[in-house]
Amino acid sequence: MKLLPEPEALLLSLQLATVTVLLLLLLGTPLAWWLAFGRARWKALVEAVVALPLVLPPTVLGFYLLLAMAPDGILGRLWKTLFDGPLAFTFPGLVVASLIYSLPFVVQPLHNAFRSMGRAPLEAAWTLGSPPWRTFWNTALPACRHGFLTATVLAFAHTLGEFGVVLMVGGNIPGETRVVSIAIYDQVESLAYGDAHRLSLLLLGLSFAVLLPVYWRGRRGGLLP
Amino acid sequence: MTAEAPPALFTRIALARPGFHLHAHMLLRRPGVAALYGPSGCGKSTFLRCLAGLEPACEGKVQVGAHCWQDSRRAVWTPPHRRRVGLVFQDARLFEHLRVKDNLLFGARLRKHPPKPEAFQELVALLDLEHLLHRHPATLSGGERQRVAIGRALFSAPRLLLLDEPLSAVDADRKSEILPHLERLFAQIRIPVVLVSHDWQDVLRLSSRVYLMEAGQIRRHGATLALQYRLGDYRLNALEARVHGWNPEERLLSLWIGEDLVRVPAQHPPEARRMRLLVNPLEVAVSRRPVTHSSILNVLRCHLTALQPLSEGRMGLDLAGAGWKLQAVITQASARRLELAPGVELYALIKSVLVDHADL
Repeated sequence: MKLLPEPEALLLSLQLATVTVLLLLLLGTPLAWWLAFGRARWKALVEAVVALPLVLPPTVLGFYLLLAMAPDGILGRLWKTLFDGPLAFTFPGLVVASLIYSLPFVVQPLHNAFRSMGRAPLEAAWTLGSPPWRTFWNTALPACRHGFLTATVLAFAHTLGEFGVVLMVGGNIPGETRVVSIAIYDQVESLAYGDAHRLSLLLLGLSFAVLLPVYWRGRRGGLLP
Repeated sequence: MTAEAPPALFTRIALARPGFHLHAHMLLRRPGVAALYGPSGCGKSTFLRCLAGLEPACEGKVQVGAHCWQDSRRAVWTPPHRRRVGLVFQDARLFEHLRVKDNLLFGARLRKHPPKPEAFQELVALLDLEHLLHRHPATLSGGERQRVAIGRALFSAPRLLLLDEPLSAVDADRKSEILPHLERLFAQIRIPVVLVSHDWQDVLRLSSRVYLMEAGQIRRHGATLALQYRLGDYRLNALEARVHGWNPEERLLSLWIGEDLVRVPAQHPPEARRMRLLVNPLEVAVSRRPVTHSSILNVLRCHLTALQPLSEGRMGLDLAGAGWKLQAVITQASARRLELAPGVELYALIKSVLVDHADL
């Protein structure tokens, strides 16, 4: 018995969460910006689709993703043409699934932050000579920094804790798709309660430590509107 | 100034929105302060937003000096960040994450011509911001925020300054705190300024030209002082005067109106030989006997040619002197007490005389 069981699974979980958060910030920021400032009438539709993973059972989401990622599925075929490899039961497959699963946790705090900031500071910056792209960096980003912190932390913690989707599309391949939550489930199944305890406690502490700074600073730009 | 020199500001714009139509023009031949006056919701702020380029649906032409910012007919449209416009919003809109000093220099840094240290100090002193430079906006009062917003706009070296109700977000005490700063600033400024206000007292105090807006349209425009008295049932007196001389010790300018000499406070010797004097009819009193022991500089002999009752218990008097005419407004009670009738000999006591500088 080691003090830290399954270092490989832990490392994989952290890797998955980090990659997912970085990609989600990249994709979610323009999406949230468009939701906050765009003028399209079908915004509500997009908002509902983005929020779906919040209510859908992870197994349902995982099931559909698994079908899409199969070698003859839409995502699987696309991936095969682009990178010549399978998507289901691989680390990239986990990342794709996590992106969809954790999308609302990035988009909603950013959407709220952008909306509560409004156009007012942006207009002020423009009239002072700041081009739109620079205005994002010198005005919107600092004004919405708490929203970005919330988005980062929630998406990180949420990806760290995902189970159902990972089990469906990733399976349990050590070093490739066996993340902490799967490892704990496996240990409980095989009655290795000691290891399960240590890993669970570690995950609990880690999640708490990650969430604390968000709620420490009050609820500005929080998850709920 | 030659006739070909472009006006400091020319704009003729239209903006249509559901239930609202803005159609407005403004022409300032020389830099100076023009007020846009009208009731709330009449489109004053939208007019400023159009000038700043914040209303992409706005049609028409905006030209500041030699720079054409917008001309729908030639498909010219400059985005706000390239307009060199200083817009002071009603709600200040300071950047909360920056200290006052960094707020002030936000535009200057972007436009890559930071002010010289002396120029920075000068404006900071003028707006009385020295003690606030290292504070965060959240700790400032409404009046302080407005002053920072004005400084921030000016440091971005604008070619046009737009002020949207700079005094409305602050209470009466703070207002009297900002007003002197604005007056000093406007006395020094060399760019056109458009000041939006719904308070006529502020308009009178700060602007030399005024545009009256109602339901998105400019109803009237003209010299502020001249317009003031066309609004009621009496008019401003305009008197043609010839310069007689200027006394540097007393700082008084003496001028001939007809065959009478009047004296007017003036800090500098006059530039022109002839000028127009403006006299508020409310500031002309009459006496049936000569008045000697009073502070009033100008007491002129005249006779009453006509009187007519006005609204609010007032009486309008038409006075004729030696080669001049003047209208005075007194109360009907005073007119009865003095037993005024046409032909009566009177002394006009002129409390204040303004030299008309209003031709922007």
